[in-house]
Amino acid sequence: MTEPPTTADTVTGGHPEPADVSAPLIPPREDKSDEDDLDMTPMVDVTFLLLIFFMITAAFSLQKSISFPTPEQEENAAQARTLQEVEEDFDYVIVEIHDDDSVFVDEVEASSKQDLLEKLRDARDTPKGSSARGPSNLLVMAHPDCRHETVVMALDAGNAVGMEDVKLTMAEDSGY
Amino acid sequence: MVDDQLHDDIDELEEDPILPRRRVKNSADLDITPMIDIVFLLLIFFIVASVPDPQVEADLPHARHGKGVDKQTSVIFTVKDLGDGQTEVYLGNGKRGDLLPEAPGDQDAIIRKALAGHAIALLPADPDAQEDAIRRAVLEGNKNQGKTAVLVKAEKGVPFHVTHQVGKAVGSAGIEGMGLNFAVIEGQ
Repeated sequence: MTEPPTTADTVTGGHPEPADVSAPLIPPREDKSDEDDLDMTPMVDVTFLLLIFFMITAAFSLQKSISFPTPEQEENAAQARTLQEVEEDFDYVIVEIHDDDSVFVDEVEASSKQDLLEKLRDARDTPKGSSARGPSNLLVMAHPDCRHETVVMALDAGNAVGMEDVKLTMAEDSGY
Repeated sequence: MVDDQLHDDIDELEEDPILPRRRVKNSADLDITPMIDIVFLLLIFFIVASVPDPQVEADLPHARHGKGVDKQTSVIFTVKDLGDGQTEVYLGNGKRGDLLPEAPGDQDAIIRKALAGHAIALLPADPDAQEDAIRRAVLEGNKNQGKTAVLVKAEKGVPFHVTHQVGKAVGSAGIEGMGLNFAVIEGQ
C-alpha cells in the first residue's frame, strides 16, 4: 500500500512533494491495522475449543445399549402361554441358551456367533409349517446360570437379522 | 510537530533497506499462539481419550447393533462380576460404593444422590431387599428426576438370573414405557 509512493520517491530523487506528504502516508495504515483488521484468531480458537468440548461431552453421555422387554410383562402375558404353545407358533424362532453357554436355534446347536447369525437368517427366511413367510419373532430362552455375554450375543443376533419382536425369558431349571 | 514527524518517517523510508528490515523484525518475535493452541488441543484430546480406570469401568459385552441411550435420563444400575457366579448390584454408574443403609429415610436420601450421579450405592444382596431398593430407585427417578429409561450395565460374566432379577424388579415398579436396556460396547 505504501510501496508505490516510496518507489516513486526514490526514482524522483528522494524529495517527496508536499502534496504527497499532506495526504498522510503512515496514519491510514495504523488506523487500518488497529480498527479494520480486528484480529479474529483468538475468538475463533476459543469457539473451536468450546465446540470440541460440547461435542465430546455429548458423545460421552450416550451409552450404546440393547433394549430388552421387562420380564414382568412377559410373565403375565407370554409366560401364561405355555412353552408348548410358543414352540408351535410358526411365527417364533426359539433360541435356547444352556448353562454351559451353548446356543441352540430351534434345537440345532450354533457353534459360534457367525453360525448363530446364519442359522437365524435361515430360520427367518424359510417358511416354517404352513405360514407363507418365515417367522419374524425371536424368543431367547436363557438358563439362569448362563453368562450375560451370551444373552447379549443372542439379542444382538436377533436385531441383526431384523426380528420384529425379541423376547427374553428365563428357562426353568427343570427344563434341562 | 506533525510535519517533523512525517519528515522523519519519510527519511526513514528513504533509507535503503525498508522491506528487509521489516522481515527481520517479523521473524524475530515469532508468533507462538497457534502452536500453543494446537498443544492445548492435543492435551485435551489425550486427557479425554486416556484409558479409563479399570476399577470403575465395567467390562461390558460387545454387540454390533446397539443404539445410543442418554445416560442423563436413565436410571443406571451396574452389575459387577466377582467371579464364580457372585455379583454385586450398584445403583449408579460405577463399581465401587457404600452399602445402602437399612433405614428407609437414609435410603431415600442416598437413592436421590445416586440418581443425580453424585454417589454410587451398593444394593443389598438379599433378593427381596434388592428388589425393593430397585423399585424405589426407579419410581423416584421417574417421578422426580425425569428419568425415562433404565440402563443395566452388566459385566460379561454375570449370570443371567441376576440381570433377570434386576429387570423383574424394574418391571415391578409398573411404569409404562420405562425402557430397559443392557449397556454394550459397540463392535465385535
